[in-house]
Amino acid sequence: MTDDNYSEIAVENAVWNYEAMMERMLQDPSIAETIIRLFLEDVPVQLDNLNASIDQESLKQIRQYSHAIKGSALNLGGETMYAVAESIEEQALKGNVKKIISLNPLLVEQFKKLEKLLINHLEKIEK
Amino acid sequence: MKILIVEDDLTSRMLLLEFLRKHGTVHVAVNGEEAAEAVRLSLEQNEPYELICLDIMMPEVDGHEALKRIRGMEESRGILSSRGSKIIMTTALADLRNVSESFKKLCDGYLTKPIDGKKLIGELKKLQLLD
Repeated sequence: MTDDNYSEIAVENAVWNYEAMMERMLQDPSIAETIIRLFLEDVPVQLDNLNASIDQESLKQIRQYSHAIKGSALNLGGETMYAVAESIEEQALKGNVKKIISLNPLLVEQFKKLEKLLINHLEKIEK
Repeated sequence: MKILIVEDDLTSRMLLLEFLRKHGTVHVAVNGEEAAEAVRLSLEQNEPYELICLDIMMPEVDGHEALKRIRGMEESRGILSSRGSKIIMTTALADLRNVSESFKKLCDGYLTKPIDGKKLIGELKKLQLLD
């Protein structure tokens, strides 16, 4: 395997650490499938809620939704998405709306990357 | 075993449910207010929860407040916390650092997120809820 292959795998693992997720889910594919499907349904709603709370500059709600998104990303092994959600939560505690506004597109971008990998995974197991 | 999961985050709630459903009857609450109400009913019916998994950070009534209320209800019925429900607090590691020592004495264990099946089962064994 070349260095390029390794870095591609490392980047992909940071987006979705499948092995770590499966380890925590006791290597049970049915639990993993249930949680992945829930994540794909629930997180877009949470992201919409977060967007609305950013528009309203409601720090309490920004903290609440970013915390929930952080927890979901963490359970799924979405490490980069988790890191961005945690930064938003920290900035909400500090009251830094400007920083939150700049971080929010990154969070959506990380979700889209993770979503793509999760959908691919579901398609593979459906075949 | 009668179990109550208190968790506002959907994936954490479902993961705990998936791990615990094979070990007993599981009820679910999505905030501290619902949790306190579920515990009140269980005590009134004389069928208390043996295990409560309680998230610390929740909107409205959070895990701190719910834990105080639950232990208060047990105490008012003459149940000491050592004899009451086994309560495992669930939280992100960073949030755990902010938990006070007096609060820690009211619960029986911790589970840091992400939810890990092996660690959860380990906690249940430590509390002698599982062999």
